[in-house]
Parts: sequence; structure tokens; C-alpha cells
Amino acid sequence: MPRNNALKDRLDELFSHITGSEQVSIAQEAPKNRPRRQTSKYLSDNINRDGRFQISAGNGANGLSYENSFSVEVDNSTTVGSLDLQNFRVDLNAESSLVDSAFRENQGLVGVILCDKDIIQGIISRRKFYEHLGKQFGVSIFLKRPILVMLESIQTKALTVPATCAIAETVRLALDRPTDQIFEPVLVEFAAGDASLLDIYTLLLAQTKLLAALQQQIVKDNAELEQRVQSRSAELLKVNANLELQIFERRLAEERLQVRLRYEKTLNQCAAVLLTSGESHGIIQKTLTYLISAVEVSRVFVLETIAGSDSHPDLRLRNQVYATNLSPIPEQLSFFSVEELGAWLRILWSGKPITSQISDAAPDESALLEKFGITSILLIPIGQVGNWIGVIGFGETKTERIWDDYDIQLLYTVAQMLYAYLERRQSALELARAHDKAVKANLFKSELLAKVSHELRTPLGAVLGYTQLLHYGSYGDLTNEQKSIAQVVIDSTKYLATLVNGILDQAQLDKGQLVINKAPFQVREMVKEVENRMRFLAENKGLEFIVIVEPSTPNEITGDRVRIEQILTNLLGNAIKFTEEGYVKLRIASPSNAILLFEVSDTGVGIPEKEHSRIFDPFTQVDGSLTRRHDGTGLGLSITKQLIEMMKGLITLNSQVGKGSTFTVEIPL
Amino acid sequence: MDNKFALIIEDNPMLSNIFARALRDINYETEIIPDGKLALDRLLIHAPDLLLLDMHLPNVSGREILEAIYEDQRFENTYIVIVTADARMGEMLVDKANFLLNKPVDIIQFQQLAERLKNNHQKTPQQSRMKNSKTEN
Repeated sequence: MPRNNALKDRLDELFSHITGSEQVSIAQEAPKNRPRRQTSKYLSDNINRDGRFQISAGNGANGLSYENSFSVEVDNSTTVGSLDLQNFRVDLNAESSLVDSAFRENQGLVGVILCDKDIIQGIISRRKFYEHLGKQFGVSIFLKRPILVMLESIQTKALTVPATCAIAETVRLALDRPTDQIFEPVLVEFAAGDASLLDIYTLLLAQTKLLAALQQQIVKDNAELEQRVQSRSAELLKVNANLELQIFERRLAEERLQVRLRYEKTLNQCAAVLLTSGESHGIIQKTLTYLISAVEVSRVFVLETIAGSDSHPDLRLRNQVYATNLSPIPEQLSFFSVEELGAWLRILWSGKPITSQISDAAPDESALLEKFGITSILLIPIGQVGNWIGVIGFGETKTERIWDDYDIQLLYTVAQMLYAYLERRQSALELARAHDKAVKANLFKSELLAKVSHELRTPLGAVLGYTQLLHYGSYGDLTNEQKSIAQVVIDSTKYLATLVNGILDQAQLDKGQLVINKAPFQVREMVKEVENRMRFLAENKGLEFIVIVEPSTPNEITGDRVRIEQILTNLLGNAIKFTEEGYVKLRIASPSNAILLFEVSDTGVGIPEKEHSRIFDPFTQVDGSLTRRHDGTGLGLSITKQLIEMMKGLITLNSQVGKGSTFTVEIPL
Repeated sequence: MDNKFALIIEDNPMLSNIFARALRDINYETEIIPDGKLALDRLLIHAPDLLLLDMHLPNVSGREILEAIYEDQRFENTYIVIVTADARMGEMLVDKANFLLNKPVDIIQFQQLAERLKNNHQKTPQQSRMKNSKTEN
């Protein structure tokens, strides 16, 4: 039965809203004390069983009943017109006071049927009745008046259904109205224009329940809304708290950042004075001053180790700075024995910091702190394992400051820089002392060499002179053997003489006594003199001696004539010495205005490539030994090169074994 | 032709003896004076053809002697040869002499110099200042 099912569903839905306090029960036999909440189930059960049920009115819940209670069978096809309504009858002509008294007399009576000459005009509930009365405040309702006119007078939009409409369908139509019209009466039209008011109690209940449900819904909605508002508020509160926390944290971070920046700046300042400045005075004091202003602490001080026992030296106050409201740590408190510092030193000498507050320091430590008037101390060792040279510390005199990582890190880094500075200063002092000693020793050596070589000349002159006299027969002819032995003495003495000359020159170079004296001189004249002297030597040896003065050569230059002559003499002397046949050539030119160029070339033995770089070192000859065949100290080229370099000039060599050598000298003008 | 006259001012007897003998061997007249003051007195009496002048002398130094005579007209034809162990001093004074010999002196070279001087009589000191700087030989 789809229709029954639809009805059942609809009623179920309807009654599902019903809770509560209405004094009406709908039951087959008006059962007593049936729990109201089961009504819907009961009703649907009954419909399911036989499709019929009864409506009875009376105060079943309170166990009361009254004469005019009614009982009527209703089924799906029951119409208003078919109801037996004798017991609820109110004549339409009756005055409203009669209706009122009918309700008053029957407390359980919830509605009356309005009749006109035994024809049902409508059903009106007690509530509706009084509502109408109330709306008509102070005005009697004349029920004789046609219902439509009456309803119109109170501006009511009734639902009109035909008298043939089933009650269940009427309920449905009534409930399907918009919520603002759901309380309006329902009119049953028996004939066109002949409408009667219908007010079935269940309908009213349904409406009431629906209202209650709506109200409940509204309450619920309100509650939800309230809850949402509350939770939203809570959320907002939470967000706000978070924000405040974030702001706080950010401010904290900013403060820490400020501290860090200040510390970094201080580190840079300390590094500048300790590591890079050339200053030697007040460096440590300056460093401590930077620290005290950055860390904002009462005292900053440096203790240095002094000889105590070997492994644990005592400490003495070396430097200190202090807040302006404090006075310095006095002299008599500036010494600390190993015993006094006790456990602190063992920690410090393992490279760890001491952070101590007076309230939780060991008794001997707190005595030490009190000695200073310090309430909170941070100590960092200066040095490295095996070489601890002191301690640097912060001291707070009033508060018990908790030293944070920044403080410790800053002091550690400064301690390391301080160590580097002190070590550097120490080694610089040692270096300076060693340097002084070396300079003195070198000066002494140079002076000794100068003196010795000077003093050697006179006896050498005697040996050379007498032997030469002997050799050429001034004292009578010698045998060939005697002559050759005399020659050996002569050669050896000459070699010794050049050795002495070289040593003297080198000594002068070492002493810095050899200086370049610049003065204007005539180049060609100087060359001529050198030529005169060297031509004589070369031609004695059977060599061709060539001098080319290029036109580019200036007439006059400013330079050290004596040294330039010495250079040319040395180079030409070497060329003549190492050349057995062929020529020795001197070429002078000025390839640019800024350079005077000398080129000394020969057709001598030449110099192997690998020796080119060594040839200018002192005491070097090509074969690495001082040979008798080519006498010379080996100092000649070394001194020549040093002289040229003193003139900011350059000497280069181009040579191959067997193909001669060319030395090129360039001297800036 | 008369022999040339050489005055040897040198306080070391061995060296003065060697110079004198070497010069005599090439026909120079020689006289040795071992004292600066005596040498100055002697020079005032007679200007030699060749003056061999040591720098380190007792009483008056060779340098002072040189200062005294180098611009003196009477010594215009005197060929002045400085002999010194101190190369630096020699370099300083070489402009005021004709030739510089560093000790130890190569006698053969010295004789060759003196021999050339003998043949080259007209040469004035100022025109031919040559100095024998340190050579490697």
C-alpha cells in the first residue's frame, strides 16, 4: 500500500517532532499512562494493523476523563463531514461566551466543532478560539457571522480544502505551507463559498511541535553560531597570543642580534689592534677597553703566568679595566698562587672556561670571588695545550650574571687573538735580537775582511815584486827550472791578489759601504781609458781588441763612472782571460734615451747553458773549481752583477760552449 | 839623453826597494824617501820625471803631498803614479794624479808604464790621466 506508506512516513515525520506536555493522546482505547513518545509508533502500528484508528479526547495523562469525551474512528478515507461530532458541538449561533464556558467546563477539551443547524461549519481549538478572542481584544466574536468574513476581519490567510479531502491529506496540505502561514486555520469548503473552519488538534500539535522544532533549530543554530563565534573568538585569541609570542620572540631575537653584532664589531676592533696593527704600546689595554664596553661588565682583566712550579705556574694580574664606578684591583690582591686558584686552574689548563656565580661556588672559590668583590666570573685560558701563558676574564660585581654562548665565544676568540699577538711579539723580539746579533757579526766580518785584505797587500807586493825581479833576471839569470818556479810563484801571488781584491769589494758591498755616486761624465772619454788599459792586456795575449761606439751613444751621461769602469774592466778582463785566440769586442750603444748598453763579446771557451744561471753566484767558475789556468776569485762576476743591480741595471748572458760569450749590460739613464 | 829621474815615496823598505830596482833596471835614476815630511822638503828642491807616491806615510800623508803639488806649475811635467792598498782612496784621488796602481803592484806592468812614459816625454799630467783600476788579472 504505497499510499499508506506515504501517509505513515508523513505522520512519522510529523510525530517525530512531538515531545512533551500536550494533554492529548491518540489511542484506540484511550489507554492510560501510555508514554507520549510512543504515540507515533503506536499510531503507525495501528494503521498498519487494520488501517483504522480512533481519536479520543480527554485528560488521559492525568487519569481524568469527562462526559463529553469523544471517540471516533478514523481511517484514510474519513472526512470531516463524516465525523460524529455531537459531543463537540458548538452551535455556530452560540455566543463566544458559550464556547468559552464549554472549554472552561471541560478542562481536557481541546477543540469544539462549530455547527450551524447540525451542519458542521468547522472545528476550532481552544487555543485558536482564545487567540481569536485576544486578537479581537474586548470585542465579542459573533460566531454567527460567516467564517470567511470573520477570518478576513482578522487578516488571516486560511488554507481552504474541500470537505471531501481526507484528514491525512488535509494535514499534509496544512503542513506543506510556508512556515509563516503554518499557524493559519484550515477551511473546509462544503459548498462553493461555504467554508468552515477546520482545526484538528493533531494538526495544531504538529504545528506546535514544528514550531518547537523550529525554535529548537533556531536555538541550536544560535548555539552553533554562538559556539562558532566562541571558537572563532578562541581562535582569534590564540592567533593573537601567537602573534604576541612571535613579536616577543622577534624582539628577543633582535636583541640577541644586536648583541651579536656588537660582539662581532668588538671582535673586529680587537683583531685590528691585536693582529694587524703595527702598534706596540697599550694594545692589550685597548683590547680590554673594547671588551668592557661591548659586554657591559664590571671588570675585564688579564692574568699572566709567572714562574711557580714548572707544571703549574702562579698567576699575576697583568692588565685590567673596570667600570667607571669601580676602583682598580689593588696591587696587593694581584697575585695568585697555584694553591689559591685550586681547581680552577686544572679546568682552565685543560682549555675549558670557568663560569662561576658566587652563590653556587665552592667555598674556596667564593673566597676568591669575594677577594675581588666579584659575584659572577668568566675565565678563559690564553695559550694552547702545553703553553698556557695566562687567563682573560670578565667579572660582574653586583649581579649574578649567567654567561651565555656569545660571551664565552667572544672571550675565547679574543683569548686566541691575544695569544697570537703575545707570541708574535715575543718572536718579533727574539727575531730582532737575533737580527741585531747577525748584523753585528756581519759588520765585524766585513771589517775584519777589509782590514785583513788591506794588510795582506803589502806582503803580497813584496812577494810579487821580488819574484818578478828574480824572474826577469834582475838578480842574475835563472835556470829554466828556476824561472818556471818563479812564474808559479808570480801566478799564485797574482791569484791571491785578485782574491783579496774580490773579498774587499764583497766586504764593502756587505757593509753597505759601496755606494753609487752619480755625476755627469763623458762616455767616450771613459771608454777610451778602458780601451787603453784593456787593449794592452788583450794584445799582450795576441788577441784582436775591437771597440765599437755606436752613434746612438750619448756624449755625456750621469752615472757612477768609477763603477761603470769597474764593470767594463771586469767583463773585458774575464773575456781576455777566457779567450785564447780570436777577438774581444766592446760595443756601446743607446737603443733608447733611457738606456745605455754595453756588450762585451769574445771568441773564448764559452759557457754551457746549464751554468748560465750560476755564473753570477759568488765563487763560481764554469767547471765549478778555481783553476790555475783561469785565475780569478770567482767574485768578479758576482760583484759586477751586484754593482749593476745597485744601478738598477741588468746583465744578461748569451753563450755556447766553443762559440764564445756575450755579456750585455743595460744601465738606465 | 839623460836618464829619467824617479822619486819613490814609500815607507815600506821592501816595496820601495822593489820599485827602485825595477826602475833602475830600465835605466831610471831613483831616490827613495820613506817619510811624508821629508818627501815634501825634497820635492821643493827638485821635481822628478816620475813620482811614485804611497798614500800611507809617516808624518805627512801621501794625500796631503798630492794636494800640495798637483796644481803646482813646477810639477807640470811630473808623471804622478799613486800606489795604494786602499782602492777607495785611490779612486777619490785619481783625478789629481796620472795613474793609479793598486797594491800588490805588478812590476812588469809598472815597468811597461814607465817605459812608455820615457818615450812619451811631452805628455802633460792633466791630459793623460789614466788609472789602473782593479783588474782581474
